[in-house]
Amino acid sequence: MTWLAWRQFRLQALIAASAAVGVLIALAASRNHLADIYSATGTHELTGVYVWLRLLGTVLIGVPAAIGAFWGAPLVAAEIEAHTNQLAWTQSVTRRRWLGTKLAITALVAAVTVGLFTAAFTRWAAPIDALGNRVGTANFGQRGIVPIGYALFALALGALLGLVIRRTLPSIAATVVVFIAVRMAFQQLVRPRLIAPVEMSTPTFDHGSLGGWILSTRTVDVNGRMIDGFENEIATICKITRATPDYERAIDACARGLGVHDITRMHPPDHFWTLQYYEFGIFVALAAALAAASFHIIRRSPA
Amino acid sequence: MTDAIEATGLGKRYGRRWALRNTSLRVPEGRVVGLVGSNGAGKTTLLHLSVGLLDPSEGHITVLGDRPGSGARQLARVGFVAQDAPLYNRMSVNEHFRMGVRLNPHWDATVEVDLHDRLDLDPRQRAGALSGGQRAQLALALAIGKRPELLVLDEPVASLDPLARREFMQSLMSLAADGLSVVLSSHLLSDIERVCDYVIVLAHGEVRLAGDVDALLAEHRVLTGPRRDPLRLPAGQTIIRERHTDRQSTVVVRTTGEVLDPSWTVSELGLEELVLAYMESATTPTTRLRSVGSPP
Repeated sequence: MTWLAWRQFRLQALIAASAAVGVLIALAASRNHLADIYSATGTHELTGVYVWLRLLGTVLIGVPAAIGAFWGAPLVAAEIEAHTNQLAWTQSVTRRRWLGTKLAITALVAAVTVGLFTAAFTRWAAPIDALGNRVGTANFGQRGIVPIGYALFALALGALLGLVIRRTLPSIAATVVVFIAVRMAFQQLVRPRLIAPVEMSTPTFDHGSLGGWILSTRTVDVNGRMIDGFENEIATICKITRATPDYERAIDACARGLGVHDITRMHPPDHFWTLQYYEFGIFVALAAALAAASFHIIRRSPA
Repeated sequence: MTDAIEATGLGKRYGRRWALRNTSLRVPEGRVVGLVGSNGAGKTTLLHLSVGLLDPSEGHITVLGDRPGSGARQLARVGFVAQDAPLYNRMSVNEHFRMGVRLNPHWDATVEVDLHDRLDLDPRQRAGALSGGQRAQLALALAIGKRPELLVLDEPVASLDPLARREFMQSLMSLAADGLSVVLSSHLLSDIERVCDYVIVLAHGEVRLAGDVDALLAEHRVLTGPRRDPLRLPAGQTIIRERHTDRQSTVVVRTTGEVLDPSWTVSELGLEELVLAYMESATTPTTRLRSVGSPP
């Protein structure tokens, strides 16, 4: 069965591998210069081809959805549409082994190519991340190991929907919609709660970057009570008006003097890998559950 | 001896529509079985049930003593060619045989040589570029290569020209001569008549007739004589189909003994006429299997 599964998939595998190698070469070749741009003496500004290279991160976000749509959804649905499942399911191989082998080979290629891509990109983007933020919502999904988990999940989702819907195009559409919905819901509702965030006290009017993922901030007075309309109150106490020169700095200094500060709930940069491991594990577990559902359904699925 | 196919109260429903109902039959091993019926009569459903591509909605079916598609061993015992001979269009002829080798434990490599001898195929040609006849032959070779005990073919000659059809039927007959059980569906009655020694007639999802061809032919007669309507026949004679013109009645009957009434001209019928009689009787339920003594 491995032979047939590989024969059916080898062209797509080759295309994916070539794309991954292309990305690897481009990122390896430009890495040193990027480190210069983000060094202490650098401009910290991307120009020309580097703007495009950075967009590979956006591509990396899209790759799992594409894998679900173009590898997962047609895995069974295209065979049902072409009736070739009637040929395959009457060979001396059970449907579960047929599906299992096809899924395993596709999953392996998906994991390896996406793994190479994300490893290269995470390394490449390290100088940018050192000054920026990779924990939050924007960059988290294009770094580390979660893209592999997303790809496996999307693949299993596509295969299951294809088996149930039985037509390729509607399965592709359904896969993309469900995948994006699950990803977004997870990002908004689950990821912040995967591990306990850190609560820290930060200056109220200091707008410098904390370099982490800020979930919420509230302003409290010296006794820890939340305060409302604090800016006007502080201005009144310290007799600051809009006409005061350097208004913002004056307000900041006044707030510090009064003991007014912010309580910030956040995931600091060192939560990155823990969050990655959890999220990766959960998506791999979801993928396994969807695959198990497919194995269950395919036994009784009409040809 | 186990039966090639045994079904009891078998039924298959798609949504609210029954494609097959109340089907009970026993097909002995070593026969070439023709499954006939008009489009939508349930032929494909019955064949898919017997190779495990479908599960019954009610009743039971066993093939060679086991539930169809119940495992790799059972799958290996049944060869199947689906309607229109589905193949992997992007794979070459050669690669289809490699698939056969990899997916079947008792693969018979001679089918490949044999196919090339007969068809002069380029082994590197992609299946998508084959003609209908070549596709059917390749699909049949793949099904035979499994060395099955039962071969099931769904409309194997539907897309073939007359020459390809004859070649196909000849390959089939030589297989049957080796003792393989074969079930094939077709609406080409002449083909069925030439190769089949057992026939099953399906109409509206039910079995109307099933049995050994010679025995069935021996039991049926056409009676022709002066018009008699309503018609009464002695016990033991069952009307399958009756036709009346102004002056004459023609009746197909199933009879246990000789027809003695001298006013009838009695003749035998061929398989084609017999099957048609049952298929027509199925479309006009009022005349269906009406026998003497039963209420009209």
